[in-house]
Amino acid sequence: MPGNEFPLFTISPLLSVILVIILSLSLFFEQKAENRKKDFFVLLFVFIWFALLLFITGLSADRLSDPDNTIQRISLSAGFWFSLFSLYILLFCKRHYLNAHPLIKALFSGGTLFFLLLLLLNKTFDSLSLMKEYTNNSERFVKELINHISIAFTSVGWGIAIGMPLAIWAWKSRRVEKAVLPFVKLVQTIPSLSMFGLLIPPLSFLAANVLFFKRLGISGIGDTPAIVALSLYALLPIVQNTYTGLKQVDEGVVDAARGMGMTPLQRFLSVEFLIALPSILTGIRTAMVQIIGNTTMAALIGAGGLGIFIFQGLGQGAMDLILLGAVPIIILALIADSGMNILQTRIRKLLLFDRNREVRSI
Amino acid sequence: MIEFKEISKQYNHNTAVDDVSFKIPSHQFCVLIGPSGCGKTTTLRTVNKLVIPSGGKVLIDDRDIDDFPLTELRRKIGYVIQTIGLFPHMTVEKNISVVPRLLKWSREKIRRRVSEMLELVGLNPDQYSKKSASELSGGEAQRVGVARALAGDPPILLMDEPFGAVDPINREVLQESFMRIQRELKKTIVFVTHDMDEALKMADIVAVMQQGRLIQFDTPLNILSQPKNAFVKSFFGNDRVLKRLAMMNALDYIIDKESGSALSYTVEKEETFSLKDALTRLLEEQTETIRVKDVRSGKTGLITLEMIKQFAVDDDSG
Repeated sequence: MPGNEFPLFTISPLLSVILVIILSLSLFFEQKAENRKKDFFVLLFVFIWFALLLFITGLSADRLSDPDNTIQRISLSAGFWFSLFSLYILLFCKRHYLNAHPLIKALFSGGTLFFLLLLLLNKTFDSLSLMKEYTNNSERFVKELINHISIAFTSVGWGIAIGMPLAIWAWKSRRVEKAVLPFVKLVQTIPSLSMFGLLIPPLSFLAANVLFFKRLGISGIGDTPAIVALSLYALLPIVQNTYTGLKQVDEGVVDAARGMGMTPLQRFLSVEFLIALPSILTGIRTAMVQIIGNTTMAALIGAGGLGIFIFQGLGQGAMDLILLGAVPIIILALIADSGMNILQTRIRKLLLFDRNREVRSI
Repeated sequence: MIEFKEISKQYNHNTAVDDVSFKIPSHQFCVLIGPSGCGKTTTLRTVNKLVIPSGGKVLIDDRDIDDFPLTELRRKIGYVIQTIGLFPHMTVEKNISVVPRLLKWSREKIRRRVSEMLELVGLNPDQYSKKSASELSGGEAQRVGVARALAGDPPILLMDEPFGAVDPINREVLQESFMRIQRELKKTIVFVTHDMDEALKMADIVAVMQQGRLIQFDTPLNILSQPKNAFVKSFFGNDRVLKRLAMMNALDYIIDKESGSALSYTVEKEETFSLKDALTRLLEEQTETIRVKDVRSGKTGLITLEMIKQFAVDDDSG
């Protein structure tokens, strides 16, 4: 849809000047600060920038909006999204290298989220079309968000339930290894859209002819093909990481475990599996992030999820509807990623990994 | 007692061990030695059934090891390997307590046993029990490996080149401290190495292997003085004579004779003075007799160059 462009400085010159001053100040301090404190300063400025950017955006939208004009829409331009994106990269890179107490680190990332929430509750963004799309769709948004999460997590759950035993089997048997690893790699190369299409005939057949599957509510479209396809995609990272993790267990360690009189099951549970666990978790983490993104396609076969907004937005050329779907997906993926990161760090610590070395994991 | 009865092992038509029979009496330190690929490790691993022989039997105290349940057998046999194989995800304490836990000892007993074992191998329990394997040096890790193998109080200990990956200085320290442990615990030990100095130093009895066959099974002294064939002779090197002299305690050979102008040497407590040491002193001082006195027994007597010459040619057929 055509529209008018409003650069920031035409809306509120004062605020733009403040932004520029802050930017110069941050550059100045970045140059001046001692090396040790550099990261901290950059983070601080990123935080201020982030807060100001959001605040100014909301304020400018308010100024531009005309309460009498109901079909007026105020969208954010590419400049805003680029700024947000670069700030995000800066925040996470610097946070990662910041040599500070974990609490301070958490404060920086938690603080940004908290501030965003505060502005949302304060209705600062309500004049923006993105928020208007949300208000118009709020009920459906919550439903599809939950739907998206449940499809993604169910698929990853199946991926773990099938992938891990498969990987263990491949690790135990040469012949299975030769079949399983190429298979999961092959699956990964099938485009998701054609995968959904490929699954419709067999699933419809099963639903129509086997009572058991019918009772389970399985059908050619809807949740079932989505979850089947996504579980298949989840297999590669999970199978590969579980398999490599187990393969990497030192031969001497296995020999010692055998020689000490552990039964094969004891050996697997208390030695091999635990040593492979960090690698397995990496696989699950990759699968999670990937599947949360891939679940978008589930909307195409009637399974719902946030993809609905994206495809609807694409169909209507409504950029903000697309964002209503895309932004939460990104945030979901980030939350899943950092949640898994915290879990991994804890487990690595419990398993005494990274002792005696300072290893930072992203 | 461990008895190997006509043990053979084939891998795809390659013979690793060929009809090997010998008996290791209880509480003896037996070293299996030979060049790499001679089948010594394979032979060792038949004892805890990590290798199942293609033919023959292994007996422990006259019982076929096949009569024991596999895990039970292994829990009664300590096992130390060159790469140590400490569990990287467990603390030193947890590593040592693996077998006691498998044997379902009480928590209190395990705790005491761990400290006891760490002290035995010369590591301070307070300092080491909470460390991870990656925080240990090579020597420390090998000590923990020995402590772990001994934790279940097994009557038998299998050691596969345990000190092979440790630098020479630390290796000697480890050998000394392990010999002290063995004097205390009196385990039946099967020890694989390709380092003949290590073998001669530590063994009560040596099994020399070559190409899967047992060539000679004898005491270190006899192997040096009566090598069975050219292989054994060359394997133990050209300085066999000196090695043998080094193993002979001068105090066992002194003769009660007077000599006016003899060089003299007093053997302190905890010290051993071998015929090789005596020879060294004689050569250094360019003289022919040395008077040796033992502080412990007060015994005194002479060693002469002539006597040493006699010992050197003794039994050596050529």
